[in-house]
Amino acid sequence: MNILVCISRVPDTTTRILVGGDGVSIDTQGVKFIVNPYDEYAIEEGLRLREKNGGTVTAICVGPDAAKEQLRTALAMGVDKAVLVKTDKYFDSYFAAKNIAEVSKEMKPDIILLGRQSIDFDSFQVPSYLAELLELPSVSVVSKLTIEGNKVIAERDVEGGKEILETELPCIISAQKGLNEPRYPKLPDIMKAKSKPIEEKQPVEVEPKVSVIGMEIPSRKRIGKILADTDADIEEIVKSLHEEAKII
Amino acid sequence: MIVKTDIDTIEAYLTDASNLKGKSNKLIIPENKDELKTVIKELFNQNQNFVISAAGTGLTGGRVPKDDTIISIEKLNNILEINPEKKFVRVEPGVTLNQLEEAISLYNLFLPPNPTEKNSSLGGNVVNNSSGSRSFKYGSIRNYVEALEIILSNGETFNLNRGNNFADGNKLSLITDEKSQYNIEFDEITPPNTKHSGGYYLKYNMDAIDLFIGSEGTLGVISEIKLSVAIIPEKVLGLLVFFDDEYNLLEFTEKIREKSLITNKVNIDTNSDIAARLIEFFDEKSLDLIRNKYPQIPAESKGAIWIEQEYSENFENEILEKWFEIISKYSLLADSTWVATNEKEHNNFREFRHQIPLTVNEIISRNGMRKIGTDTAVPSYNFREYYFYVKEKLTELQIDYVVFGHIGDSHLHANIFPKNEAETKKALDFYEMIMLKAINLGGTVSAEHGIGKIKKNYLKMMIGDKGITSMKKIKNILDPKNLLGKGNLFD
Repeated sequence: MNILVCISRVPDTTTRILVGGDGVSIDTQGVKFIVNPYDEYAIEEGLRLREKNGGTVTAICVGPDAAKEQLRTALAMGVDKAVLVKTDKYFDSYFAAKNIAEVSKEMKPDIILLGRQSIDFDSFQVPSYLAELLELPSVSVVSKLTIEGNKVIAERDVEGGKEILETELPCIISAQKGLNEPRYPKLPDIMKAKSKPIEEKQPVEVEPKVSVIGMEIPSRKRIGKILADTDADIEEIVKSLHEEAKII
Repeated sequence: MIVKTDIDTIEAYLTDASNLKGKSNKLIIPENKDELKTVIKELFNQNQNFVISAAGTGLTGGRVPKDDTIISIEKLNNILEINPEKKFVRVEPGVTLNQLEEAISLYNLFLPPNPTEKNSSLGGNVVNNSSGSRSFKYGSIRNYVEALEIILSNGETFNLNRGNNFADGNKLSLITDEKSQYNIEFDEITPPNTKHSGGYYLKYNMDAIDLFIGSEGTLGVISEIKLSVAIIPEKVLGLLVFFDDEYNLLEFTEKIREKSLITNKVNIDTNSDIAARLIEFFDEKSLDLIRNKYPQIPAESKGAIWIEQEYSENFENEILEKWFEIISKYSLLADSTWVATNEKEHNNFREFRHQIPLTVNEIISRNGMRKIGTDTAVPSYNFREYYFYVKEKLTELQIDYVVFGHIGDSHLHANIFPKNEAETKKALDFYEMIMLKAINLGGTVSAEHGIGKIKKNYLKMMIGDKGITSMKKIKNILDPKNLLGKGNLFD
């Protein structure tokens, strides 16, 4: 089975984000980057499919040279090959999807796996763009996947129940939390990953369809007020419930 | 200043994480240092005994009032200065570890010892001489306390800077800002050869500041703290190593402990060898407890060791190889060793560690019983004897338990979760046996939780009447009316 897993380089969830001087990007100084957490489910699913069916898992990332670190993480988890489509520019989901589609056309994978969204821009767009560009069926936000022969059964969580969809390989699946429990990188695999090559490709340049025009940090105003049980405070509580909260 | 006398508000201050419950009818919450000083003076004039309450996360009842007036320092929670060049911070005592870590991480700084309870206050950490997972390399918080401002029970103030005032043999001379002089002649107490949080630090030629670190709120009230901090290392490697055999796990631990004590002294930029800053242990029962949450734990595991090492990227390959080599020598599960190299992965390991006490607490509250947990440590040369004694007694007990903790410091937490009163009684007998064994092996009854009000008898067994008398003598000089933190450390 020829499996392609798309990964995205995103800021560490524990990093504090600051807006850069240009007002349209983040200040990356001191920011640590990780593999997009949803993509870890995609990697794990790819590895499990390979363990069951044989074949190769290739990880692909569109991003700067530094994204090699995230590809190394994928290799350490057990991915066989890694491809970096290298770009230093800001890019949108369309650019990412277009470039992954170009590589896919050569590779002809049986299945393309991705996280349901990247936690940086949260656009949810790449899986659908990719399906359109490659004219392949796709199921998004999948929490259980079963493949028998060419038949693909994908479960999605919907409010109050499950939705079960059926499609055929080749197809595109985006992963939801719960699809599996991603493995931790193991010591020997980390060591081996260091010697696995990362193939670099030049991007196909396309105009972005979406551009960022501004970014700001949500204000963290302290809204709590501590009041005691003095007459003055009680009066203030009544006043704020009436005028600010408007509940009495 | 906020003063509360209603029972409902005070209720929350009557206990701490030890579940010991006390009595009080007055709670005072000063909103700044001047108010703190004023209230202490007033209480002194009224001969009213009082106890300081910080975050309430203590495990030995230190803040639990014995008919004391409670002074809560919760509002003294300002970070006064962060100095990245000189690498220090000045804080008020109510600042929590969480708050400090978040603030200084922006300057790429951290507080090395890493006490586990992040909601604890720095004032609490200092009076308890707290330590944590990284204390194996960095020691307890004592090593990071550069200066203290201390208000005595009569309202006068000491400003102590490390390095400025040493004892002349056993004679300490302290002068308050108000120019009162206190002359202290003390009897030395030899501490155990372990990590230790139990009673006053009394050593010939000691630095005066050390007397107050670990004094558990009995000598004065800390109103300001200056701590040295360190630059976050460039790279940290985390390993979670699983073992198929308990004996091999212990041997591995001894080997890497011995090695790391040497290599931890080498500059990170030039070190290409293994050097653990943290060595933590999980027994098989701890792993069993969380297997549901972590199906990735290898089924054959009889225990696990979590390690962290600070390193320079230049030596990454060599260090990884050396770890793999030594792990392979002692574990058939070496190939299953989990690795963390970025902050998110490190957090996963911390969460893994955190899940054990968390799950224990869930079971305890489901059983409706009190947790019985040991905090003993022994010198490393006696660790094996201690370990197998604990295991043997736990097996005899036939009550559910887990053992985990800071094995790098030969310091383990045995947590027992009784299901009924009869089991609780048996568990308490076990607790006492372990305390006595630790003392016999030259260890401590309190490695990091302190003595407070619940381990006084054991402290007495450990340091004897002479040790207690020695501490009381000092208490009598600095707090002659015996108003402060009554019933902590000794009666």
